[in-house]
Amino acid sequence: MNARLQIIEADLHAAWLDALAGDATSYQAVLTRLSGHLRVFLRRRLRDKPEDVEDLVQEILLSIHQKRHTYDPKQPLTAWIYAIARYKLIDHLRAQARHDDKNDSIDDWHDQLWMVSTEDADASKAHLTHMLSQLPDKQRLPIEHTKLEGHSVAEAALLTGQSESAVKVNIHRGLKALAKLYGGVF
Amino acid sequence: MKTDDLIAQLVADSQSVAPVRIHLMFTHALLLASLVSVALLVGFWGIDLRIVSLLDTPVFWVKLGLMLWLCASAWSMVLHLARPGESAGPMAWSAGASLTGLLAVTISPFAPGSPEEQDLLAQASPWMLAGVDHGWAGVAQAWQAVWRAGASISALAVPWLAALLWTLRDMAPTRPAWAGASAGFMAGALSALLYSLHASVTSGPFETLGYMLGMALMPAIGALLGRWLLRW
Repeated sequence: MNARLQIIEADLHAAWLDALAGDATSYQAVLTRLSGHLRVFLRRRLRDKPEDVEDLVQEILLSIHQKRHTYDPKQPLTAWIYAIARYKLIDHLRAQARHDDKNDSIDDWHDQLWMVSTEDADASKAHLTHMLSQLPDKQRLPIEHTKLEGHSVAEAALLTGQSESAVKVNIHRGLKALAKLYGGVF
Repeated sequence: MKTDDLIAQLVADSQSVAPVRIHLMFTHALLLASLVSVALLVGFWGIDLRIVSLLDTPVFWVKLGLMLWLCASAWSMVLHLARPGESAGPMAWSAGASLTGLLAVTISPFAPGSPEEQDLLAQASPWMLAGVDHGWAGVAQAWQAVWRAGASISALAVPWLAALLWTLRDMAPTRPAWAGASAGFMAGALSALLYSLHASVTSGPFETLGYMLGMALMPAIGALLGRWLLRW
């Protein structure tokens, strides 16, 4: 046991024994501290599912509460809590894997591989849509057609009804306007 | 629900709790199961009182000692694995060692049984010898002995296994399969001990093999049941 853990252990253990004896203030203090430790621990381990962290924190706290009579005062509390947290986390991950196996369509995997993270991709897409919405349509549409959907200038001209040179000019002006609005981004 | 709200609820529900008396809980459960198993043995198998004649053979006592050691190791394993954050550790080694010792003693030439059977055992391959000496009838007979002992021990272990798993459910095993396996270990060892009251005198090498199979089967069953029954 390293020194830091020893201090935490000594702190928590004393308060925990008071809590088991029926001291509500100690119990609240211990549970609150534990929820903090658990949150950090789980956040690190559930990076791709941050929305599950709080649910799991609560489930573990509830388990600790329900099983507190099985705690042996002679054993280290930190080890006891860690074993419960680990058990619940693994249980959660297994259930998740089973669920994903049944519900995850293999067809999406190709896209998922090239995505940095769903969250990032969604956020930047929303951001881009917002920025483009500030441009007048005659500039926005050519940019969307050529830069986002991958059409050629000639195709964009057909889609917008503008001439090819107008498309080129509007793309140029639109990007310049965006650069002015969001200086340095482009 | 917010976590702080949950904590407030848990605190409101926090009357003092006495730490569970784990030894007492398991002792009660095992005693109750023993009554059932002994009743089963007396009712369906019967006790062979000729066991008294074995009391002056050292092998009998060595075997008894090893079985008891096995039970004690398994008992300690069950108690450890019943709680989060404790490992079965050295107890598993101790159980493994006693099992190996048991195996060594029972297949050694000093094992009890009729002289012919001991002759068989002294050979490298008793199965083949059984076939050579007695033809297919010998193999069938040997197989029957294995089956009889193995099935009896498995059946007599059921009450103990049930009692241990039942009690473990009230605890908090974070390794359900291991906890179940150690419960099976203990149930099998106790059952073998009990069954020897019925069959010690008549048991030959093949019944001993049946003992081993029965005792090996129980931890496997316990592990499977544990994964399923001991989740919380």
